[in-house]
Amino acid sequence: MSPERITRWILALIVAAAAATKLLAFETTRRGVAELLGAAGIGPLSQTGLDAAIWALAVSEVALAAAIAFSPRPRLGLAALLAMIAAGIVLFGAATSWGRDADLACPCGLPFELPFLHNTFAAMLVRDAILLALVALAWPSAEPAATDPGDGGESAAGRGVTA
Amino acid sequence: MKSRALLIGLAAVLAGSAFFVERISTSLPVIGSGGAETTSSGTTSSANPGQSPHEFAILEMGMGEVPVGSVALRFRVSVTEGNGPAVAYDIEPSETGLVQFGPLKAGAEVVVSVVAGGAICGFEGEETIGEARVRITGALGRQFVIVPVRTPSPTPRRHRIEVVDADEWAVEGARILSDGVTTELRTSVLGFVPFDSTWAPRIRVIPPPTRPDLVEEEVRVEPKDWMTLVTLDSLPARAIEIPELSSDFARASIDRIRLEPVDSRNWSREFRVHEARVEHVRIGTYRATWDVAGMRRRGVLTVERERVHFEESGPPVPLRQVEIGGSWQAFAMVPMQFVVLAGRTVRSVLTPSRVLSSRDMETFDGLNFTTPGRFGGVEDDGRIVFPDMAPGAYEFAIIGRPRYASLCLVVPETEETEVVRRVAHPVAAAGVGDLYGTVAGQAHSKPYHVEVRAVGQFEAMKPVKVGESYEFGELSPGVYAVRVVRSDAFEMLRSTGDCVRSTWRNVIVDAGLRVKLDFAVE
Repeated sequence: MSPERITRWILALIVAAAAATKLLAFETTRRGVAELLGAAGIGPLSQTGLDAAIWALAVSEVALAAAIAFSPRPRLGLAALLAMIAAGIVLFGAATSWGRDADLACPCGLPFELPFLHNTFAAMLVRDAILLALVALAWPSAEPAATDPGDGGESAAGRGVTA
Repeated sequence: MKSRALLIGLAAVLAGSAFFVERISTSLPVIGSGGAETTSSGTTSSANPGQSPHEFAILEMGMGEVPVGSVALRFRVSVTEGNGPAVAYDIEPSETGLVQFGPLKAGAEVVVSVVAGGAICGFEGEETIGEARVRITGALGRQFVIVPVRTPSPTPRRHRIEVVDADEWAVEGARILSDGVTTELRTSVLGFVPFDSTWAPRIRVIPPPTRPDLVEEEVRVEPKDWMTLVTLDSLPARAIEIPELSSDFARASIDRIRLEPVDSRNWSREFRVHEARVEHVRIGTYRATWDVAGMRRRGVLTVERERVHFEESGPPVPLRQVEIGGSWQAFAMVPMQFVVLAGRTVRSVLTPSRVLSSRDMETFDGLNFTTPGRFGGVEDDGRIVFPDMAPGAYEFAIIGRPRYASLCLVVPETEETEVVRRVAHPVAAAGVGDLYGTVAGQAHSKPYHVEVRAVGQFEAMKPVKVGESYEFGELSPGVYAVRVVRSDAFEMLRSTGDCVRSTWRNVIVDAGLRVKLDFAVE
């Protein structure tokens, strides 16, 4: 198995863990999401709306993890993950005035702390930097990966792009 | 390769931004949810060294373990501030052995004793079963201390009389008359007096002059019982008219007046003003305050059978607006998460033990029980605004999550500008700790529960099996009372002599700490 594929599996596990944490600690997630959305000026959402948003996010994360791990086009999954990271930075950044204001807890399901960082937004940026580095490592050298069937990639012929 | 390089570059930019954000944020004042007396480090001090956001301290105290027995226990808190004399207060703890006291200044020396018995509770002897000395640190805010205690010595059983009013407030100074009583007997500040079995069992209880609202009572004492509870009836409450209030009412709307009795009762309640009349007031003398046209009027109100007299205590003082900065929008949408500024005087902090035990200290009842307070409104931009605050000491708190945030601030009387405070997320600033441990002993078919309580409306419970561990995570710093209870502990037909619940034990949970507390059941 190639290093790219191993890294993709690691990323998929991380994303799946984020989804599982959200659902396992649902009450905490609900509180965190309510605070985050409130601080970002979104809402207020009803309890049902909040729950639906959390479920939707968790389900999409599971789908994303599957796409990163199993899809014949892993770049799509990785790009979606990048978009999710960017959205998280924008939302959390807006809620915390880019780290200057309320130090909200991130309800993303990926708690991340460093002893020398006190600001949650700063810690989140470091975590996202690590995720980005992992995405860079997982990024396929070429897509479709016709020469590496072990990657789960499909051949050009299989995708019907031959002349 | 190009994409990879781009992503690595982006990751480097994010990491650099993180350290930039961290640097910016730590240069801003960060306010903690309470300095911990036993903590040498914390976000509060590291973020803004040498300068506390709090302007006074409140000391939370807990007994190491609440002894089992029939002797009444209380805290005796002796406070020395600066070069002043030591002032002592007797405070009844909650059933879990918790109490709070304040406001206190930085550097105040506090001797906290746990006393068993004593004349104030109607016992002959008095024994100090534990003592701790603390100095209030410069961090101010909520500070915590645990007093280790030993089991009190057995005391001879003696009958006691307790005198209370219809609201169950102790009646201090009530006279006890009976055949055989040769010396004048008066109830203590807690309403107790010891009873001698040689006296005639029929006694008359005469209310003190400070309680003209009460009527005397005649009761029969059963000396073989532990105690006789005498409840004195009150004269009916009535609507009253205060001339000064009526003239204010004519020029501005007034819907509430706050009354506090000048005797030993420390309640503080708002009464409705209807058509310039104050409803349901009993005979007595009160400190009265009401707000009119941005000013607070203060005075002593004397309500007699035939007349009402109000004497102003100084000129009216201007009201101020208090703003708590930050992004508090979430509290506008979560039910029962009201933000309050609660008055913090010695009087208001000495919450009666039954209110402490009911964990209602900072709920609606608590606020109108001994603690004057005001609810805040969350603005669209996330600030919390408390309009029309009178000068005084206050604590910013959140009802429903009483340990989530705390800021002790003073609204000065002479300050002309608006008082504005900024809170940059108190929870993260203070951090949270964990409480965990094991329950050892002989397994039982009935399950056990670990209960945790704190001062204020905080209560949590988790099921645990014998031989297994429990854990309560993400607790805000504070004193927590913990015990283990078997599920059938409070069943009426349970056989006696069975160990079904442990005593309450108190521990300090501090930011970033994991506190271990093990229990053994039989």
